[in-house]
Amino acid sequence: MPTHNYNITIRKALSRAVILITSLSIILSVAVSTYLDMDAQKSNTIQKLNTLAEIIAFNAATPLLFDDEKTQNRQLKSYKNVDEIQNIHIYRLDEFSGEVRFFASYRGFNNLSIATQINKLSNEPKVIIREEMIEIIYPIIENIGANSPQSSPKINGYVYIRGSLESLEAHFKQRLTIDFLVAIGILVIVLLVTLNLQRRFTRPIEALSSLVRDVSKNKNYALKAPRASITELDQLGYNLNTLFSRTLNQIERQQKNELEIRKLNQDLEAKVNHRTVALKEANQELLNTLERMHQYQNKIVENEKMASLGQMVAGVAHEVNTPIGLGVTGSTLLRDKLEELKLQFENKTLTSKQMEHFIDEGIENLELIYRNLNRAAELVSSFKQVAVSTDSESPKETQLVPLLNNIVDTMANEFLQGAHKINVEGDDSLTIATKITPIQQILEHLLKNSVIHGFKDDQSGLITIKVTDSKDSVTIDYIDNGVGVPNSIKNRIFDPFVTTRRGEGGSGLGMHLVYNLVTQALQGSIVLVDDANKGAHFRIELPRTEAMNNV
Amino acid sequence: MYKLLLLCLLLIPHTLYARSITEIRAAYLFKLASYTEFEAVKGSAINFCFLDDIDSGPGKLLSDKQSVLSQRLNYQIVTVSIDDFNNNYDSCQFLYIKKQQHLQAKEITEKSKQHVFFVGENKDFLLMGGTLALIPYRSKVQIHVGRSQIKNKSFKLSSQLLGIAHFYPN
Repeated sequence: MPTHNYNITIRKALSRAVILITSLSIILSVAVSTYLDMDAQKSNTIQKLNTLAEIIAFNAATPLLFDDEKTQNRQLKSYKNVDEIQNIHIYRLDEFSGEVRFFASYRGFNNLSIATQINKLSNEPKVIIREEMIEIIYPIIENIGANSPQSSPKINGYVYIRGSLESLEAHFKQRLTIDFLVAIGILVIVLLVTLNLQRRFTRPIEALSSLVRDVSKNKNYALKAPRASITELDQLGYNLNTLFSRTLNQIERQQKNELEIRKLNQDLEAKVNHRTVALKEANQELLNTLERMHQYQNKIVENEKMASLGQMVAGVAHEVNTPIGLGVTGSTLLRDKLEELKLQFENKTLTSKQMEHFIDEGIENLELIYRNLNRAAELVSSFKQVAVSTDSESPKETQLVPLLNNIVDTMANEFLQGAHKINVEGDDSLTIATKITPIQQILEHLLKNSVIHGFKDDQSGLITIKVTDSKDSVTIDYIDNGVGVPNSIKNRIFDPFVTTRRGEGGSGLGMHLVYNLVTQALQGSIVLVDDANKGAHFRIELPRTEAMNNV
Repeated sequence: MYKLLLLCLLLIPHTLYARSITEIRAAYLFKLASYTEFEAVKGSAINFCFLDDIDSGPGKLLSDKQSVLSQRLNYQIVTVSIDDFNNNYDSCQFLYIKKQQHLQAKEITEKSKQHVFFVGENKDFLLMGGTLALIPYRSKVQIHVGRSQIKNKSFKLSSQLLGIAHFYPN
């Protein structure tokens, strides 16, 4: 949308405003005064004609009474110098018949005679104004003497005057002509005064404008505005000078500051360079340190591995050493007994009692050897289980809660013997693609741990298994109300050979095996939840996406 | 023809309403009371006096019309004789003297007092001391006033009346 930028100079605006205001004032003044004057003139004319009508009526009373038309006409002619009067009629009212008759008349210079106006006559004074004409009707009152009993005056005739308002029109034209000439004169004077004022106003303003333009173009703030004869403009010039002076000072301070800043920048740049070199050196030193730390870390990991391997080897050795040692001891004892029996047999000193005693001890030793070798075999078998095979079973769609119930029922019949209560909670319709055997082994180890380690001999434990479904996984919370996991092994509960029943049948491989089954066979995760509840709480998360299918 | 018809039309109303000189004189005499101010009779009746009789002339008319005209002016019709004036009769405000009686007028006017308004019927009456004469002129009556007589009277004549009157001698 286009915009119109209307600019006007002070000179034009001032002259237009003054001329406009003056013109309006003159027009208004002339209009009002002319209207009032014309109104007054009209009123005066009407009043004058009324007065004349009253005088004529008064003077006409006697000629009318004595039927003296001659005197009446002579009297009427005396009004020839009254310009407003065009015609005068005198009418007589016959006192007997009541009939009105024309009595006398007067016609002004250059005026035509008019017909009788009997129909307009009235007993009351009346004024009729029509366009440029005034008609006045005035009753003629009979002169009654002091001896008359009459209380009200008697009308014996009428005066009719027709006046002209042409004199008013002439007066109006004359008045307008004079007013117009006066207005023109005033406007000329006002215009001259305005032009003079314009020069007085615009010259200082133009000088200031030129000064500002010069300063803005050449940046020469040392220029000064000249003094002006008009106070406001002089004040403006003074303020501009103050502004220029302060701007000049500001520029000088700014230049000084810029020099200081430049110097400071140079110093700062030198310091930065110095610091940069120092930082480079420090950085190189840090890189070296980091490299060394990586080396130390690798060494520590290696040491940890070696330590773990040694620990595992030591554990395996410790676990296997006992049954094999007992087996060796039993077999050594049996060999010694056999050599002693052989010697007695060769010497023919063998008695039946000695033979019987040897047989009993032999059986006992053989059972000892068998038990320990069997134990060693079990240990080796359990060691073998630690290395979980992931290829033996494929995942299948399984309803998890019924599966867990079946496993629990089987286990309860096998070794829980109804001493403890097991609750499986969850949606029976929940289906997951998983491997059944690892789940069975995991639950078996957890239940055994709860029974062996968690519950006291006389305690009736409660085991709760909660199955909850989420978008990408299924969570199994295994919770018992036993003594819980000792703090000393909480951090390494899933490490191999960690047990609190060393030498009492515990191998310390159960939870390590559970960990391997969850993480390797089922591709899930297991954590020991360290909550405030008494007992052990394990949380197993099994994936239900393609990760499981790809296993 | 047209002018003749117009003249007839102008004359007909005048003829219809034409009154006799006596009637006009009676009317003028009656109206004179309105233009004359008598100091002694303010508020009381005006006496119109007629010499010797009122069997004819304005006196008879004013007498006949008194019942009507008295509504406009409180007046009395009085018949007087020269003897009455000799005996200092002074109740007349107006004394109308007919033309036939003008010979006696001088005697009366000389004896009369200043307050009597003498009204006659010709200019000679004014020379004999009359105050005002109602003289026929064409079909009308002109008012003539004796210039010297009105100066010594105790009553006042209205300037309006004097404005239409003719002074005699000029």
